[in-house]
Parts: sequence; structure tokens; C-alpha cells
Amino acid sequence: MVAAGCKNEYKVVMPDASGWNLFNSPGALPLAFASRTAMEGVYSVFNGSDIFGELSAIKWSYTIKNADTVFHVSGFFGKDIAYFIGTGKKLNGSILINGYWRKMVSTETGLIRLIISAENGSSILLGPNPIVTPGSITIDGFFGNQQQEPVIPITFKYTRKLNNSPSPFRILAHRSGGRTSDLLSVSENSVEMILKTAEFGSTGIEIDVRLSKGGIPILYHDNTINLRTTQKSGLLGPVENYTYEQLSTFVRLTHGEKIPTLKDALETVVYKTGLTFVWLDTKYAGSLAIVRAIQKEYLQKAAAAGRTLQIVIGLPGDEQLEQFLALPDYASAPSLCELSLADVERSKAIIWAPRFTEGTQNDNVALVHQQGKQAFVWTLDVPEFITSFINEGQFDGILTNFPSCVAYNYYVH
Amino acid sequence: MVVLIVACNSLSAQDAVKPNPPGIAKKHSLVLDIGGGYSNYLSPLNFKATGIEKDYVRSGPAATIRILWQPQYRLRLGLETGFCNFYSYRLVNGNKKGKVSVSAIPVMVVWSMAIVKRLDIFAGFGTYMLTSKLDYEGKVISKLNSLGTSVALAYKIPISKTTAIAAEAKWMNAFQTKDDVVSAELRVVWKFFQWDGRKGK
Repeated sequence: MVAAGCKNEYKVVMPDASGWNLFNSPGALPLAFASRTAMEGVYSVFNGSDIFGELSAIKWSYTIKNADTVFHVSGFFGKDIAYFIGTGKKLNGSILINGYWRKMVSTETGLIRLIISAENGSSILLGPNPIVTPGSITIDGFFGNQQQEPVIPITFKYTRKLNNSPSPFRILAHRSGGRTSDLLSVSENSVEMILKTAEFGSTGIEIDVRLSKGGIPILYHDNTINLRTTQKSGLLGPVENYTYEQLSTFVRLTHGEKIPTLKDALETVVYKTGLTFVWLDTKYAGSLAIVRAIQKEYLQKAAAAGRTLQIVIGLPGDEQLEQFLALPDYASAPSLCELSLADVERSKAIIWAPRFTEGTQNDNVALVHQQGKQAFVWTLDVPEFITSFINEGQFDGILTNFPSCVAYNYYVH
Repeated sequence: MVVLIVACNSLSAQDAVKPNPPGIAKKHSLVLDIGGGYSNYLSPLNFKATGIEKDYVRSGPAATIRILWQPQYRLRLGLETGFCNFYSYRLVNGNKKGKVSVSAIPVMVVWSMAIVKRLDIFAGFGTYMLTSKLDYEGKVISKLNSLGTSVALAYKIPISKTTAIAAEAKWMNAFQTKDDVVSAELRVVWKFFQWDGRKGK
């Protein structure tokens, strides 16, 4: 009783970055593809390194909103799982970056405003064939705390390209981007999170699949409808008790989103993001036939749209494995097996995904690689472990609630 | 609450309990405490859905039944159950209508003591057995147990050697589902069984 009374409710109020008049001026225009990609790299952080660490990996991502492509630039730092996310424009020969920063280990956040002037490298980046060399780009600017005007100086200097080995390396966001409990501005397992997750550095997602009453696959993690994941609606008990019509009308996720169907989620991935990997974590014990049908449908849609996308059915336990083996075409259905290497062989899974507590298991990972399969590890959240698995392990992907931390460690490796 | 119980304990020691004289047998009793009234749901109901109209009802009937072992000491111990309507709402979504109601049956271990003459405090800890009823495109009844607590103050007026009537204010809190409810009840307290304890020195 006393413990419950003393529990703190933490909250992150995301700052509103819309107040930079220079960035909003009519002459500020979107950046070209070449400028954006040339800007990507590992930067040394000078002013501000005491807050964010000494290096930052800067990378662009995109989503499609209302038929418009929206580009975001993210900077991943080595200290306190910090990152910044912004948008970029060019104005009078300079490049402006406007956004916010956040530390995942705390509720610290604030605005960040950056400029690359002509003499600091924007003339290179805005040129027709930008070639960037170490020291050729300097990003200057300011950051602030919460909604305060940014006045604390920060400087980035380009040092090298982003690491890309091994490639492709999957930075997989748990529950489509991170847990709701990590105080993100959108809810886990939501379409809104899928649209946002690349900003955190993810190249793929893991989503939790359950069946509503009536058999519609939906995204929901927990066994019951609860206040960790949803607003108070009066509906209690397993989501499987309710039809999708009932859930869609009465249940809202923590930040107000609807529980999406699996089809909603994959439609978003295929047509509105650049994500390249989806791990369907099957949280129920029944037939996987409907999930397999949807997997097949969206792999075909992705191929038709010219997208390079893998969608795998996750096999986390023996029940799911048996249901998967009962599928007539299981051998050709891309799957990911969390069980033993023998079960990987039995299920014809293309990916083996052991729990991180087993260690780097380099011998087993090498064995899997010899068979032409990949190996992912889950769920890595402690920065020291992430660093260690990237530096000493041979995995092809990491599932995490902190994709920005994995992105930092991979890109600066 | 711990502070309140300690404070009450101290008050009770001074004002409420007079020890039996030496050589007088100490009486033990079993007390049935039963009553009903009205409750009001206090927690925010924050389910927000665009384009959906909702009409909340936060008050409803409440009832409590307790059986207490009442030794001739300060603290009494017993079990409590009852019923409480937490909240309900009607919903209009276009041309479709629905209703949700949530009620609870508490099952608690309860401690009680007199603070001053005629004024008792109760503190309970246990579980709320919640029932959710949905009527929208079909009916669904779901159940969930949520750990919780309750605190009540009751003012007793004796009407015979074994019977009293009481007015009680109670606060109920289900942790997991973050439900806070207050109730006001009228109660009948009946000492239905008594026996002698050990002799005092």
C-alpha cells in the first residue's frame, strides 16, 4: 500500500520545435537527396560533448505522410542513450537543422537548432556532386532544456563515413519502436510508432501479433487490456475476448491510437516507410494460417512496389513451432526461430534468434552463417551489452527497445 | 496511512480501551457488520476517441459485509466482501450504440479499531474482483482481479447490548486498474457470538 502510494509517475513533455523563425521563413527550402546522404557520417562532438558524448552518428530517414515524403535527420550519441531528431532545409547557401533532443535514461529533453554555413561545408553539401572528407563539414548550433530557447552551444565536425559492416545489419525496434513505458510520444505496437521508428535509427521492427475474437490478427503485446498500454476504457481481460469492431471502438492505446490490425501495420511498412524488416512475434497459440496468408500477401505487395522487405513469422515457443509446422507451405514461409538450432533446422527458419543472456555464442552463430542463415539477438537494452555484442559478436541484427543506442554503436563501430 | 494507524493506535490507547479489572474474564466476540449505500467513482476516465460520444455515470449502489473477530484488545481482524458499481458509460458511434459497466467485489482481510468512543477505523487489503460488461455489437463479460486496499471510518450508535447502527465513509483503491472510489453507507453491527477468553491477572 505504501509502496503503491510512493510510486513516481514520470513524464516527458516533448518540446515544440516549430518556433524557429529562420527555419520557417519562406525562403527555406527542402534539401536534395545528394545533400542529405552526403551529410551522413560519424561526427566528433566538441561543445556539448560533456552532455552527449564525444561522437555522433548522423543519419537520415523518411516516412510518407499524406502522399508527401518527410525526411528526418537523426544524431545518435554515445552518452545516456541520447539522440536528436530534426528536419533540414537550405536557406541562403546555409543548411538549417531544427528539432529536439532526448535522453532515454531520463526525462531530459529540449530543442536543438543547427546550422552548416557556406564556409563550414554547406557549399560542398549543396553542390551537384558533394564529396565529403574528414573535417570538411562543421555543424554549429545550440540546444536548450525543455521548451527553453536553445542557448547552449554544440558543434559537430565530420570525421568519417558511417560503418556498414556487416551488411545488412538489422536494427530492430522492439514492439515497433520501443515500449510505451520508455516515455516515447507514441504508443508501442501502433501505426504511429511504425511511422516514427526509423527516426530512432531502426531499420526494421518487431511487432506482437494476437488474434481478436473472430480471428483478425492485431498488434498487442500484453495478455490483457491494461493501463500500461491503453487508456481506461472499462474493457478488461484478454484482447481475444473482443471482436476487432469492439476493440477499435472502445480501446485506445496510451497516446490515443487505435489498436492496429496486422494488415494496417504491414500496409504502413510497405507504403509509408523505408523499413526493410518485419518480425511478426506470434503471441498466441492457435493456427498461424491467417498470419501466413497476410505475410504472403504483403511480401507480394512489397515486391510489386519495388521494396526490399523481409517479413518473418517469429516462433518463440514450442506451441508456435508446432502450429508453424502444420502449415502446408511452412518450408517456404520465411520464419525466425527463437528455439534450439535443431528447431531452426526442423522449421526451415531463415533466422535463428537466441536470447541475449546466452552471450555472443560466436561458434553457434558461425554455424548458422555456414548454413546460409542469419542470427539475431534479443532483447538488448543495456548500452554496455549493446557495445559488447556489436564489438565482439557476429550477429546480423539486434532487437532492442533503444534502437538509437544500437544505431550509434553500429555506425561508429 | 501507516502514520494514521499509529496515531489512531495512540489515541485509542488513551481514550477508547479500558482494560478489564484483574480476575475478570476477557470477552471475545464475532461481529457481523452489514450495510449498503452509495458510491462515487473518483479516478479520471480518460478514454479519448474522436467522433465518439460518451456519457459517463460515476455513482451507483455499494454494499459491504464484514465478519470480525473482536477480542478485548484494540485491534479486530476479519474478512470483508461486498459489491460496488465503479462506473459505466453509454457510447454513440455514428448510428451504433453501446454500453460499458465496471463493478467490483472486494475480498479483503480487514483490520479495525476504535479511535475514540463510537468511532472505528477499518483498513483492508486484498483483491478487487472486477467485472466488465460490454454491450456493443454483441455482449462480452470479462473478469480481472486487481490488488487493492480500503479505508473506512464508521460512527456507531448502540441500540442494544449486541447491536448497533453505524454511518460509514469508505475509500476504495484498486492498484492495477487505478480505480479510486468513495462510498457512504448505513450499517448494522451485530455481535452474534461471544465467548470468554483467558482470565486476566
